[in-house]
Amino acid sequence: MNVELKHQAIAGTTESSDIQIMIEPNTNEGIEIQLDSSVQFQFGKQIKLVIMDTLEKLDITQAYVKATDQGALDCTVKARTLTAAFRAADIDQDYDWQVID
Amino acid sequence: MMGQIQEIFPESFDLYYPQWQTLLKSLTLAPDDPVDHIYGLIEGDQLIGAVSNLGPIIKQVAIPKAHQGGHVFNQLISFIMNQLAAEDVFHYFVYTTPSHQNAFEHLGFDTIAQTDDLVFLEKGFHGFKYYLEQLKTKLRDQPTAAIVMNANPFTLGHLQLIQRAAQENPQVLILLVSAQRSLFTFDERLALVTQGTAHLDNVVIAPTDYYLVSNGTFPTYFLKERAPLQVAEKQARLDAAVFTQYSTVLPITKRYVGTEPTSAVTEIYNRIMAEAFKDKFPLVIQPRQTLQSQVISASKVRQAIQTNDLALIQAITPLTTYQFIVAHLTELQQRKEF
Repeated sequence: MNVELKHQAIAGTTESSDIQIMIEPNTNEGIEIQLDSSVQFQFGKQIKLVIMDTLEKLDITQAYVKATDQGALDCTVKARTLTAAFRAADIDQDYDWQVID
Repeated sequence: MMGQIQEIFPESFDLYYPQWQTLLKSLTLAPDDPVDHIYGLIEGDQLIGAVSNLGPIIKQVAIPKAHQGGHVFNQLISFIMNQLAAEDVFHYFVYTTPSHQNAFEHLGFDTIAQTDDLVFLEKGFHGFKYYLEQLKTKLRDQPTAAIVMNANPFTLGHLQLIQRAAQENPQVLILLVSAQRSLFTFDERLALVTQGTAHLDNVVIAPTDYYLVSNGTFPTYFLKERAPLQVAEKQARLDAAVFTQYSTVLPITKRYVGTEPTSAVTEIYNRIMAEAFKDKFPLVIQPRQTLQSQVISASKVRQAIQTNDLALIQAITPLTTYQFIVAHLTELQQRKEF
């Protein structure tokens, strides 16, 4: 699946057990993730890995991500990342939820 | 139990509006401060929290004591960020008291500047550091005089101040206030300043992007004292703290300001800035130009627009501003000003 980011988008909330993902097209090659997390020390690496992995499955290779985590589980991180990417790409139907697995 | 967030309309038919006014007053916030939207968190039939916005500025965060420190704050701030995102706003600002700094930082906000009384925070992709780096690329590496102005609209007083700075310094940076709380829109103000200074080749114009405000645009909602002079002192201190950061990245060697002999607020603003910049760079205060012993000011122009006094407008504005006003007179008279 090839998803092209067109503009900024946001998904998720900053409520407990959730993660807020802001995503933006990046003019430079690569994915840059800025993570604020209440569990940064324990799970910061893992959260970034899940975001990176989800974007790669959508063939997104250039993006800025600003994530504000309040202790979200991996499945939540994936879902929020997908939704933010779809919104940024103006995809509002025929979602490919397969990439979650 | 989680409540429901809904918009509150400042109208008599909205049952929650009186509750909202009472809540704000109980927290010494001002319900009459201009906002675009008000959102309230309702649990049962009780309002247990509220938040408002004016453009990208999040304000009037109001939570009763019993619900402070819990999920209400996160829920409200989160909600308003999503609402703003629906309007394509992805960069948020907040002025608050130091007691709320941690709560905002916990939600991913970064502090831009702070004083003993106030904190100014933002959340977005390209923050203050990026803005300053971008601004730096617009400037030559030469001693630079900075002027912050709203230019609502651009007058001969503004022009004289800029011309003086342009003569006395290799480069002039005009920082035009971005906030849309003026009779003239940002694009109109920018166009009039650009046209009015086209004959000066060492002038660079850039938006403040909400980082700096003029004393006409600073929000006063969060301050206990509604007395304008105490408000002015606090806002001036915070604004000076932000501007000091400009000077650490940019080659700013002087700041120029105008005076308004009739305005005590401007006087305080200038005094506080002079104190704050004392050991760093001089503050050059230029007396206002006068016309038949009356000071020239943008507020005079705005009054003259309402009273159809085109002769006065012609006398105190550059030709480009005058022509714009003549061409848009009816439209300007019908616009609502905060």
